[in-house]
Amino acid sequence: MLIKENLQIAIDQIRIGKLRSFLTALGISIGIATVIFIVSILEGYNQSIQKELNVLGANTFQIQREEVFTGVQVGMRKKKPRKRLDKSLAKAIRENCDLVQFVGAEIWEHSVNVKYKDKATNPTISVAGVEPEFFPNNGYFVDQGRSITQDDVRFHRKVAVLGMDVVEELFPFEDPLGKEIKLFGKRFRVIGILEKMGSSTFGESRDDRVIIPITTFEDIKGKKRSCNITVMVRPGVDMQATMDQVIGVLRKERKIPPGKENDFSIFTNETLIESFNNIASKVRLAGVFLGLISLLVGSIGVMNIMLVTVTERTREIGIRKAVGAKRSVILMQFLSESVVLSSVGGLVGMIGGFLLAAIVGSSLQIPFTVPLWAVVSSLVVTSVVGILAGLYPASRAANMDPINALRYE
Amino acid sequence: MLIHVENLIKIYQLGKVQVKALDNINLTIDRNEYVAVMGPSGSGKSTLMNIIGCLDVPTSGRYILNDQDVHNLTDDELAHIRNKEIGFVFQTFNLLPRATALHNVELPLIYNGTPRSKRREIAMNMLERVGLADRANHRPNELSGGQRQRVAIARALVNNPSLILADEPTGNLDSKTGEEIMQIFNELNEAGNTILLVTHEEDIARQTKRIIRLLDGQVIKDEMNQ
Repeated sequence: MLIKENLQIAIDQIRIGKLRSFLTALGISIGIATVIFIVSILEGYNQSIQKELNVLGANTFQIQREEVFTGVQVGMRKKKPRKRLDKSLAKAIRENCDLVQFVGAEIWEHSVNVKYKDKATNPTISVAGVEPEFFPNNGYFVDQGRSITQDDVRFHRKVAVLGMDVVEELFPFEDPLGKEIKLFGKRFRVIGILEKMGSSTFGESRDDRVIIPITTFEDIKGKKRSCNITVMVRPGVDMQATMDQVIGVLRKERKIPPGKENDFSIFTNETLIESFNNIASKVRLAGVFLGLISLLVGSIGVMNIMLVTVTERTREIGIRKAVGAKRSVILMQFLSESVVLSSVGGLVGMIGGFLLAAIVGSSLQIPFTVPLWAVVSSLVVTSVVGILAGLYPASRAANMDPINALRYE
Repeated sequence: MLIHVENLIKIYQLGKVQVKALDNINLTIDRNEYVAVMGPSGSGKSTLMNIIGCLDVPTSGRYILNDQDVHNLTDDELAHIRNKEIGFVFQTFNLLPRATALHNVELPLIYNGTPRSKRREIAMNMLERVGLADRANHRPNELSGGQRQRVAIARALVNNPSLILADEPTGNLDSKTGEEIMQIFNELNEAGNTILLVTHEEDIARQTKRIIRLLDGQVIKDEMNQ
């Protein structure tokens, strides 16, 4: 009834009190923006993860000292530092596990500058000290030249395989093979170039890499750093069975008494996705919770401003009643106003949330998505908030006595 | 007869004290009458006006308006009768301050569901009738007091009510403008409208055809104007 008129009144009122309406709707906007932003970012991550989470090759798992995603996990218990993983563990696995095909240790150093003549890499790149198995296990392929060999490792050779980003920066017009680059202050000979890989799920380039023998790495950087060990399972062999075998060897090597937890972590692409989803759902829950708190605060604001509005417009209510407006009409008028106010707030918040998600998402190189269910549910939620916040003020308006309302100064 | 009031009593509860605002009023007003209700403040004339205008209900007694028994109706039923049967003109005009003159006149039509285009037409006609067609899109604060009261009269007429209730319609106007407004009422009555006018000014009352005098909630004099 009188929907058009009521909407018109509501829009006029919001226009008249622009600043007031803006401030009132801000709480709602912030709540909706929070939820939309988090949901949109996580959805984007999720999409790219399902498609292309290939940190590891197929049939491959990795052993690390720490849990993956530890930094993000909420409410973690305090833990003492774990013993580092030495590359000798890779050897032990190689010798004791018959289910594995390749085992390789690798050590990483990030934010390194590589120089060639007067050119230097900018931004900085990551350097991996590896064993030959690194390449198949991680899905890296050498495009030109050769890979790191067993002999390179044995003789601590200063040789390097370059990723495409590094090649493009240091050797725009030259063939890098056989040239000498400067890394950690030492000279390294370029022996190979990696195939172009593209970006990983987390937005980092996988082409800004320099790969050198693990022994050479340790000569320069010392042995304090913990290795990652990648394991490829024999074709046709069960991944879980292989993991169990490897865990057994590692526990023995590291002398973990029975009944005590592993002091290392194992993950595959699947467990990576799983732990990501685990974190994602926690973040989503936290986001929704924060959003709801903000919505609650916002709706109190809407209710407050509606109460003020009703009091301010007592005379108007009296006039409308005198010329024949029924209770329900007045009720609907103020409910419409409250719903429009909070919906406009919600709409602004939604646009803001998506905008923020698009900006942040593009810098993280994840696809930008607009989940329809999030759009629909925020519109529903803001309408419900509007109705709930407006109900009491509107019913106060509807129940006013016309004589007193007309006399109100 | 248009209005028939029988043994009307209205008692207000002010804290612990009961105030008898109307004390057994009996009254009949026919169609096309032009009546002034007079009395000092506190005489009950506003209370009577509110009850006749269906803004309030009596404590006891009967009130029949246009063959319709009005007492003991719900708020919404009263709202419906106000919309259909009564046109109000107030001392303080009581226009919506942010709406145009045209929209103010349209207001009663909105609440009885008249379609938008028809609303415009009827409201424009009424503004023309009170000589304000060229002020249709002005807001009340852009109009003089007399113009505002004419907008209010246009609003009161727009639903073609059986009764026009005017509560001190010239009270906030200078005497010349007041005279103009009274001229409109006189013309309306000649055109067949029934008008009930509350006032405390003898000059105003003398322009009507019948004067009812109240004191302490009772009719003390009810006479035709010569």
